[in-house]
Amino acid sequence: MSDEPAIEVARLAKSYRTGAVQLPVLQGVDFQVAPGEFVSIQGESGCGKTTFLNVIGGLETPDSGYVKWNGVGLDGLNRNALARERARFIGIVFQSYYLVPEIDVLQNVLMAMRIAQQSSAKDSVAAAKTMLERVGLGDRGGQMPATLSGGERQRVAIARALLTRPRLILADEPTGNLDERTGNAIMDLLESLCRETQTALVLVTHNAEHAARADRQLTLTKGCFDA
Amino acid sequence: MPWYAYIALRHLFPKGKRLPFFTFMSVTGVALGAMLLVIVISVFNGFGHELRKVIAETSGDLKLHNGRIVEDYEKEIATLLADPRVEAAAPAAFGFVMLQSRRSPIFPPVQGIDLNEEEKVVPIRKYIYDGSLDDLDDDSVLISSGIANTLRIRVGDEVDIYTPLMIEKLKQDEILLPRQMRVAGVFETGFNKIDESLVLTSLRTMQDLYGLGEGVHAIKIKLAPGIDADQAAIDLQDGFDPPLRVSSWIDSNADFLAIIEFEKRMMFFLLLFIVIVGSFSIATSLLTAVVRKTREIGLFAAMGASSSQIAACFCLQGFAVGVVGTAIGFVIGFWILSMRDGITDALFWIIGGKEQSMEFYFFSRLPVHIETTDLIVIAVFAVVIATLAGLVPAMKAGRLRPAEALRNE
Repeated sequence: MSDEPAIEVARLAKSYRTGAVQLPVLQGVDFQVAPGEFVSIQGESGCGKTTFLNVIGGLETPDSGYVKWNGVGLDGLNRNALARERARFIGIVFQSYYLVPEIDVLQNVLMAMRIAQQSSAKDSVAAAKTMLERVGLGDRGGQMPATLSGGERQRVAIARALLTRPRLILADEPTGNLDERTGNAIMDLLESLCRETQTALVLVTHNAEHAARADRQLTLTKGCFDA
Repeated sequence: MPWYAYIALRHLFPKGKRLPFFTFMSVTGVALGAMLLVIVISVFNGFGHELRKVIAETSGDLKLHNGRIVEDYEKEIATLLADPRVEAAAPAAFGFVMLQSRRSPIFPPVQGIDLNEEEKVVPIRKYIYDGSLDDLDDDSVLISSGIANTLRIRVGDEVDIYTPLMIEKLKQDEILLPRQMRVAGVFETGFNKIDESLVLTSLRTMQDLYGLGEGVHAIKIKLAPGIDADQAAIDLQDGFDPPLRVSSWIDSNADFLAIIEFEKRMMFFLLLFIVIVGSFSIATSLLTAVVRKTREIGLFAAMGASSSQIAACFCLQGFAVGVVGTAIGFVIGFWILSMRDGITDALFWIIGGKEQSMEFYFFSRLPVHIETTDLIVIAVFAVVIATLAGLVPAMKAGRLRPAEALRNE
């Protein structure tokens, strides 16, 4: 594995225009995550946590500053090249799971690998089944997402994010829609899988207990991380 | 299968769920258009095909002519018969006469036929429904059913025949005397153009009436079964020097066949609008799907899908609707064509007028001929239109920004 930081961000700024007003959200953020490191980010609602995650995930373009994934700068990459790099380096877990309702659980997990075109169909299916076993849903591959509980859906989303063996997982309040017990179980799973596979994890959460599990805890206030 | 093709198929035909209303309506629109195109174009082809068959049967497959008078026709016939593709050849002379009966004149085309050879080329005997071919001699004529009906002539009646040659003689102050001829028979071929107005007489009589001497105007040629007439015309031409020309009887009726071809193209153009209207349903449904699935699109982008892959996912849905709709339309179309006798009988039972319709169109059943080329053209048009309908929603989906799509409520 490379010694490059899984992600490196410097002087990151992002603002939104609402009518005539320019609203700054991120103001010169510097940030770095080492390979396999677990970093949590907390902050009040609307402080820009999701925007930060979107920008470092290449889903939004910063106004200034730079983002590097595994030493590769995102500046100058066109939309398709950026998408290819994202498929290779980044896995994203959302609060709302975002499973595709028309396909079964196995195919949902496989989707990330199919998009990333990482391995043959046969190998992919085997890897997806193994990953489903790892998240405790080995016997649910043929079920449709609508038949799963919220916790099970999030497990599927975690399996999908980890299947492509990304360098970094960005998790945006992955337990936000779950009860405490299920949320804790999901966090256990996500943390253990990331540590086991040496995948860096950036967790945005409102839950102080979950944040406390991280190697490093950061709080976003007024567009910057508190010192 | 690429992921975007897989997702496109699953959007249209979700696993373990009922067929979505959008899929049903879009596929139905394309299927209706394709079905109507197959039925109508096949019936038009059927008319054209039957006509060609009737023309070839009533006139022979080819004719050898020089635009004037073929003097040594027996030598030319011998040359033709030496070719294994030629089954039979018969001389003929053509012209127009004034035929008068009970002071009512008409001006039908006349044809002089060799009584011995004609039957080898044209099955004339089977078309005679009153009188007999055996009664035809140098002083008699066979008349078509149209002439018999117009002038109310029966077999055995006498008719007066005037030829252009007689009018020429009138200019030289000679007395104009018509040739009195007996009606030996009445025929009906089923080809309206012939049945409406044609007089047949012996070749010798025609040579006499038109002053042809021993010459004829053309040699009718019948080809062996399975021989392509157009190609045979080209090949046989090599055996004759200009001005002798081998041409197809289809060429002589090209104007008639061209009308059918023109009507067929117009119907194709008009019915294509059904597919176009169907494609609007595809476009609006897919646009709705893009709005409904905005977050899903954002998810694919977040997982590393390119804009073109996302666009392809929606464009392929239009393509798949086109393919499935066309296939269903073809199957229903073929089924309806195979049931056409029952359907037309039922229609005539309701609205009446079967006999009149059959008399007008001169076919005893609705003719159908399925051309592979036409089917390919219909399929290509239907699929291309359906795919184009998916293009606008696809471009909209491809342009969505991942973060905005994920934020969509």
